[in-house]
Amino acid sequence: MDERGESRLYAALPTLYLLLFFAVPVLAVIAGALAAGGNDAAGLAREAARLASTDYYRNRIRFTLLQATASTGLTLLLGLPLAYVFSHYDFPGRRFLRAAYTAPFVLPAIVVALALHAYIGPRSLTGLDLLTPLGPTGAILLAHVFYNTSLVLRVVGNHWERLPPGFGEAARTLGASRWRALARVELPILRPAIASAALLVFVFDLSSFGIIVLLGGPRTGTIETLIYQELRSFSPHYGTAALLAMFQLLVTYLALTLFVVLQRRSRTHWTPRSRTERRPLPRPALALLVVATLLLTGPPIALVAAAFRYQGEWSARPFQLLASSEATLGSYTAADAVANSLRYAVATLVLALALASLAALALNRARRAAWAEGLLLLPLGVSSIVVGLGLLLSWDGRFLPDLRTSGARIVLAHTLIAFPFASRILAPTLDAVPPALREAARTLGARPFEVVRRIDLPLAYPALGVAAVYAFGASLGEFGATLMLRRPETVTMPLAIFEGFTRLAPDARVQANALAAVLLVVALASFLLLERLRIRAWGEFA
Amino acid sequence: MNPWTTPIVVLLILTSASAGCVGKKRDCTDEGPANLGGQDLRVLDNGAWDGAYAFIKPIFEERTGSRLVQIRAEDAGAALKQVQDSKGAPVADLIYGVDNALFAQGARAGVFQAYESPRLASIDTAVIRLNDFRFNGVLLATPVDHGFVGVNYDRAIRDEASEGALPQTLRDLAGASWASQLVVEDPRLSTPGLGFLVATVATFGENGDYDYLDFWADLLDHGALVAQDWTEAYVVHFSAGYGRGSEGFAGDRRLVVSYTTSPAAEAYYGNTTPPSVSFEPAFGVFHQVETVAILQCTPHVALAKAFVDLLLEPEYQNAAAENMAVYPVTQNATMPEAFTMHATDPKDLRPAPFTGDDLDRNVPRWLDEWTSVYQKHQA
Repeated sequence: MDERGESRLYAALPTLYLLLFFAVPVLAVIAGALAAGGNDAAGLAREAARLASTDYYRNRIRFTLLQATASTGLTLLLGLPLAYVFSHYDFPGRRFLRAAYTAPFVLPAIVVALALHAYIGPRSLTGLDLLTPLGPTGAILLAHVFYNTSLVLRVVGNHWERLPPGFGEAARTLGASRWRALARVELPILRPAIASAALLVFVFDLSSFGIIVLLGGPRTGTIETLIYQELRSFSPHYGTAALLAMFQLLVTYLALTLFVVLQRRSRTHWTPRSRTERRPLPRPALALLVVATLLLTGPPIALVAAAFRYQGEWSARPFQLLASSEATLGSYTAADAVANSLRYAVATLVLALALASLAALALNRARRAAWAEGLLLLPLGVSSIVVGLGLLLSWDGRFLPDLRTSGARIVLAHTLIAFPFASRILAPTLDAVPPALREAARTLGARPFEVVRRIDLPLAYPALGVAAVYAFGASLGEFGATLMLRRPETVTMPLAIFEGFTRLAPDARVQANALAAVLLVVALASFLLLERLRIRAWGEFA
Repeated sequence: MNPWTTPIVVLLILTSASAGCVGKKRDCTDEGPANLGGQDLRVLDNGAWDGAYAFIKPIFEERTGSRLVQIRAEDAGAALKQVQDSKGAPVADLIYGVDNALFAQGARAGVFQAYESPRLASIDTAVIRLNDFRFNGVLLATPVDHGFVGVNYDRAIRDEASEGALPQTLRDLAGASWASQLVVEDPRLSTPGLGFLVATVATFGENGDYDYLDFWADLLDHGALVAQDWTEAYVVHFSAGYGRGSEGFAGDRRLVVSYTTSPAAEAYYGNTTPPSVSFEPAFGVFHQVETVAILQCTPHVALAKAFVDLLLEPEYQNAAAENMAVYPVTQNATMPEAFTMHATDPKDLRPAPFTGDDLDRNVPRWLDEWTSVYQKHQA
């Protein structure tokens, strides 16, 4: 079997998955919306022209692209230096700090909005007001940086720490300054990883919803919030929603393809190695760590602190309420929410890693086509309300089996986000593996699967660890699609927290705070655990 | 062993496990058992039913031998969307809280089941029009409580003498000093938001020198904030809302569109002076009649009917006000003390100016006209 054949084989399952659980549902929503809107082609064209000429829509479409670009730039600005520090220096608490930086990734938007207020709002616990001078747009950018910096740190850092020091040392021996060696040698080699991280951050910011609604002002909105308004209105405009959804798909696809083309496959191949010697932390790096820690762990710490407040005093009472509260959480308990969240996250982790490995291998073996990669990543940039609604509309027992009452649909939706994400994290590592290694193995008689097992997988193990963290985290924190697909028995932690904030019963909010703290601790513990597994696995192969 | 065996086996197991959970398409003609015991009855609510649910649950369970399960939604609009999305495989057996403004949507979507309770005669028709809930002549939802959507304000406004007089009319509200302190909910997405829009149509009319759209234009120009839903308005922005007292809370909107009985409910729960006050109905309100409706496709029809009947009994009607901050729909129900202090006297209640037919015909147009004004003024 040649590499093309191998590629097709690996691509089969991920493609099938995307067809069944992404393409069909999204098309069902768009087709249904077009039919319900009663628009013919001419009517749609008129509507498109109206949207294009109305300031309200134009401003929000422009804002969507600008905020995503700015957020990504700022995230890289903080994330890249952090990646350097974490991969080159040794300091106590390094691993814990990295997990702590990742914890924000799972927090529901309402929790982040309130935590930012508690931390740096006009009446914050710290007495420091940054939100007022930042304004709504600044607050949105800050929240996006808060959410996504760890992605850059991990995806790039994971690459960087395994880059053989020889590259930079050779440059410096030839007379290059340290900065020049970094800029001309190391960063270009890292370009695929940087592009991957930037791309993931960009699509996340592009489809951000809760943060835009809660931190934005009346004049900030995105394509995502527009789709929500048109689709969920008491006077819905399905044709408009379908147009906006198609436009969002197109913009996302173009952006993704652009990233993939820009990144191009790095021509530098290298055998990754685990870095054993790390230098002690110099002073500028320490300053950077202090800034990042203040920004990334401050709000979560404020959140945990707030969870221990009860009627104006410090108390563990919120957690006692949470543990005992059948009455105030309605038809489920907090334990149900924790158990469901963990169950869905574990199932998503397994399913997503299997699909992501196949997809990354398929892309690696193919002479990569940018258009195919753009398609693979498309689910990340599409409105979760469209995906959720689509799953309800298409898997309803008419043409496809009825999934509406099955908990599996939650895992399927989470995996739809987690697996393209994970495959994007794996791809740069697989691409860096020198083809000579695989060729040598084949010459020695290894069959294709053996090459995967003996060469690709061991070398991709650390990246698999990063992918696992984000697949797990993406499920643990997913809100939009879970909300669309919910039934009472499928409550998760983010849904229960959201619900707690909306209830009149005086202790409900207190319990929501406590549950948010539980979610943070669960996320932190899971991330540390996943990393331990990764280290052990790496140890076996190194 | 082939390294792909494990993931492929896992995939197969997961696929078959999910296939195992897949039910056959449900047969909606099955009405379920005629007896009342041994079942679970699921009620999807409007997010404000907690107290009344806690009250009625033991009574219902003792009387029927079945279990009552509450499913919460953010508000009645969200609940109705959930019912429409899950049509054919409903998430619940009944929906609680669909009001007169939303009723036609659900009726047109075909998600409600007809039922005329033998207890309908006890409903006070001086304030409640049953016809508002008929669709093609069939009663599809049963009124169980009612109240007002209107404007509430932070009690601190009244305590600060320097703030000057409170706005006297809805039109005063559109002036710069008050509008900039107001948070309203998007009428397209939120039930109280829709109610308030209807109230402005009732107050200003659609024609004349100053119609409801002029009012909204002023409101928006002068800085009124449109929140996506009641939660955002009440938790994030309203200075006397649920966010109050939480760490770092910075809600600075001192007027909010909400239920005029919210202060009474807060007094009841908090047992103190409520942090917010509502304007009198004459200020401009929407009379909201809330219903319970049996959903199509429920396999517990007999039990669901028994539940509707129970909600019209004096026991529940007397407790509704106390537990949920709404007015009872039946004659001769009693009201708790917190209400006489913090809410309008029910004797002053009158039916809404708009009938169910009016609302069915006009709400989509009002929403679209509002959207044009909104998009122009918040471009």
